[in-house]
Amino acid sequence: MQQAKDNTDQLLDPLVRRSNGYYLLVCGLLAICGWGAYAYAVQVTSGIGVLGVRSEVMWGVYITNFVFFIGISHVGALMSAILRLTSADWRKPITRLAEVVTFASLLAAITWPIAHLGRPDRWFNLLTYPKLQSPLVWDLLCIGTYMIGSTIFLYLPLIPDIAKCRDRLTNVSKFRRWFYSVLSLGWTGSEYEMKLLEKAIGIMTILIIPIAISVHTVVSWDFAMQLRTGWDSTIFGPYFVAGALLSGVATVLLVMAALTKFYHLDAFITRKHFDYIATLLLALDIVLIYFTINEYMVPGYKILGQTTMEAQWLASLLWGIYWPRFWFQIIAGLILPAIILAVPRTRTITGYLVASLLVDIGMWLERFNIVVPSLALPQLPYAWGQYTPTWVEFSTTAASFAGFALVYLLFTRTFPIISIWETTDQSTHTKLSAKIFPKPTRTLIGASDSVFASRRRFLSYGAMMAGGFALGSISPNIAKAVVRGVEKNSSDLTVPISNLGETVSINEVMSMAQFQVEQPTRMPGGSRLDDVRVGNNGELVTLLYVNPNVPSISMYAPAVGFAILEMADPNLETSPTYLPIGFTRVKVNLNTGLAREPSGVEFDNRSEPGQLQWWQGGVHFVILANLPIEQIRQIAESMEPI
Amino acid sequence: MGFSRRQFLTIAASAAGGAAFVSMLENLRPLTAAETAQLTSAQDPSVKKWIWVIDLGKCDGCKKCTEACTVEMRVPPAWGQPEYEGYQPWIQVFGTVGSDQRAFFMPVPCQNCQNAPCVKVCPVGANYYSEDGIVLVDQLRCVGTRICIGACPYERRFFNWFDPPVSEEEKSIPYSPDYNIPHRRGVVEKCIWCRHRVVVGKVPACVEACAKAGMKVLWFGDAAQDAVSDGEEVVSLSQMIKDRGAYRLKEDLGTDPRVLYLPPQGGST
Repeated sequence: MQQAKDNTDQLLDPLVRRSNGYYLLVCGLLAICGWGAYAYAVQVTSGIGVLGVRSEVMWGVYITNFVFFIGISHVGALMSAILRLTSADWRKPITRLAEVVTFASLLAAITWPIAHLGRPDRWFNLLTYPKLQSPLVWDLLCIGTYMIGSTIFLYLPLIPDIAKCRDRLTNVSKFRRWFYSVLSLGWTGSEYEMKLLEKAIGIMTILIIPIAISVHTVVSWDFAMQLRTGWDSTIFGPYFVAGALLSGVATVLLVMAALTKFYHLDAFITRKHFDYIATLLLALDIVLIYFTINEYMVPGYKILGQTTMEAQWLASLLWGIYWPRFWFQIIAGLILPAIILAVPRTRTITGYLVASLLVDIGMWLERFNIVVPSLALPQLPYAWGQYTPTWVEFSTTAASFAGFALVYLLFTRTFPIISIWETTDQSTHTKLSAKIFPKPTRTLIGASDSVFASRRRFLSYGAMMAGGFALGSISPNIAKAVVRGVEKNSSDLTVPISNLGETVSINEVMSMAQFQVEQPTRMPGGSRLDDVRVGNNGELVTLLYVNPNVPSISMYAPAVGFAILEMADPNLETSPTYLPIGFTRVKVNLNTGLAREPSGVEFDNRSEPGQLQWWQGGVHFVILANLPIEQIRQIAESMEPI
Repeated sequence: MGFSRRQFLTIAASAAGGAAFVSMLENLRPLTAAETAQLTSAQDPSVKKWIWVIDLGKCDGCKKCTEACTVEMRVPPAWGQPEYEGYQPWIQVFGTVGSDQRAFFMPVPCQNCQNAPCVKVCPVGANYYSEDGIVLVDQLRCVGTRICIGACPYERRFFNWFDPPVSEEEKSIPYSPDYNIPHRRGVVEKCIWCRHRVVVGKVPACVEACAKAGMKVLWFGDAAQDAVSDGEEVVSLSQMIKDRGAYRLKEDLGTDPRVLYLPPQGGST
């Protein structure tokens, strides 16, 4: 617990530490934003003609920026939602920083469609006269929903941490204390609140994925729904979504590097995270290469050399006026990063950063190459359209990137950028994926650690139920009993404590249990019998002990020291002949048993308690405790009938 | 055949797109009997069904039509976009040299598609069809997303990038989508087939100018009454289609334009 406290302080440190460099950075970013605001003011007063866009190429850098920032925003949904659902627990320290990328880039993105309007003073017409036939109105609806959804998705897991800020940061300004106090919604961290929070996060996790995919699909439809050569493509939806994820992951890698460097988060964001994200980036890069081949090679095979508009458009990209941009994007933005990320020698942090930067530049160009050449292509026989961005476009674009960085910076100075409660507090550790996607069939098959972890969804006293499932994997009878119990309770997974039966007094146990219940006579100092449960018609007895010196085995109940489960199992007199993964054979008072050491705190701050199981006179005993197995064996050998 | 300097410039400017132009002409498909019947039929004869016929065999690229349009509609400047002497070419005359070294010219006004991509994509409903089938822009509603410019396969939409010069006389004209004057900044402009003229029985200004120049290239009329006119004589629309065979631009896109082109006789098509 001491370790956890230190982590909290370290993670809260950027919120209170202020240096000259920080103020200088804020001022610099504000200056760039101010210059962009001036450029936009020139655009508003003089007319949108100060941009380089003209009649044929009527969209340019502004729309490119819009698509690019919307693309980056997808990474929050990927990191948080998809990795959450797939039980990739290594994501925990980087979930929030990805969600903030979403938040900041969405703020940057939504300014562009308004900024590019010929009549920004009439933007409200989009709300008062929306025409549902238009892809732009779909955009408005989708992005609005995504903005609200992703903000909620960012805010929900932030609540326990804001409460921490409220409680810990006592010497900050009055305004900030009020701010934290309002935003924390009176969070106390009780089990009930935690359950509500988990439920809400679970709902948002599921919701945010279709919303995110719909957003970029609809953005691609701004183009694909038009009768224009080069845009008239059926793969634009998935093509844009894949590109969005790619550019988003690259951005997260850059942000991770910056945060690790400046906030000294090496203890949380480790080399392993960089390696994982880099591998994800490589995979997405290859997906995009695949899409690019489909988008350009398939038509190219059929039409190159003809005089049709499609052929002219493709030739302009491959070897016409746009070839430098196109091939830079293909080679430097897609192929080179793939090589850097794949070759072991260049799989270094520097290599990752170079690859990410190339990917981001490449993805911006990719959008530019989609927007501009198709518009410049003459629809009727005439000269090609020309487009050269002016200083206004450059200034506002720089301001947008600076604004993105500024929002990010201010966020990291206001809220902890790494989720404290998810990474440090054992007691409040959640296992959301398992709650949402139960894997009942797998629980019957093997007992590997990874599968084991997902069984804890059914518990409030999670580890105890995990023990039950571990038993299930060993004893077929108990497996059936447990599965029956799960089926019975599957509609109400949040109160699985009922699986353990009802609380009784220690005197009642003898009459209710169908076997001779035993109790340890020698326990570690400070232990106290907290709760006795009898369930399954007296075939299951559970003794729960609390001990302040022993780390809890339950993520929900910090007080539970260890648990002893006793089950009637007349069919199995001795331990099973096969050995589950991670277990060794031990002797408990001459009876054969199985034991597994506690896993210790793993990379993702998750741990499995130590286990000792043995069979004696038709009763199956299990002890779960975060103690060395030798100590658990001593407890086991001291067991005596009540 | 000699070219004037202006014609030469037109051809030179279109050299890049010349191949596409030839292929476009080669890919033209005459209207089928069913399409002709659909075009010349009318559910309610009292509702006008405006139609435009352009005789490519007669056009010599003099651009009198564009000049007349610029004057009549007080067309705003082009500000660097494809232009006619500095003004937006609402009716633009394209030209190229065919494979037999013969020059072709093709005036292109708004095609007034009856399945118009521009009307579909507008997010605020500023683009709409009048009851007689003309696509109009409500410039008081338009927010300037310019998505309709991207959607138009004929590049017949223009944008006021800056404040257009507006004379005192224009300011006194009450704005109506039928006669989109005075022009304003940040909105989309297009040829509206001189709706303010055709509803009172006159042909559009460009048609009138073409006839006055003795070209008889542009014919305007009412398909519901099976009649087209160049402002001087009236002929039968169905007879014209039957005699010459009519084409529409980019028929394969399914936009259902209301502009018919009669092919140049003896040309490279």
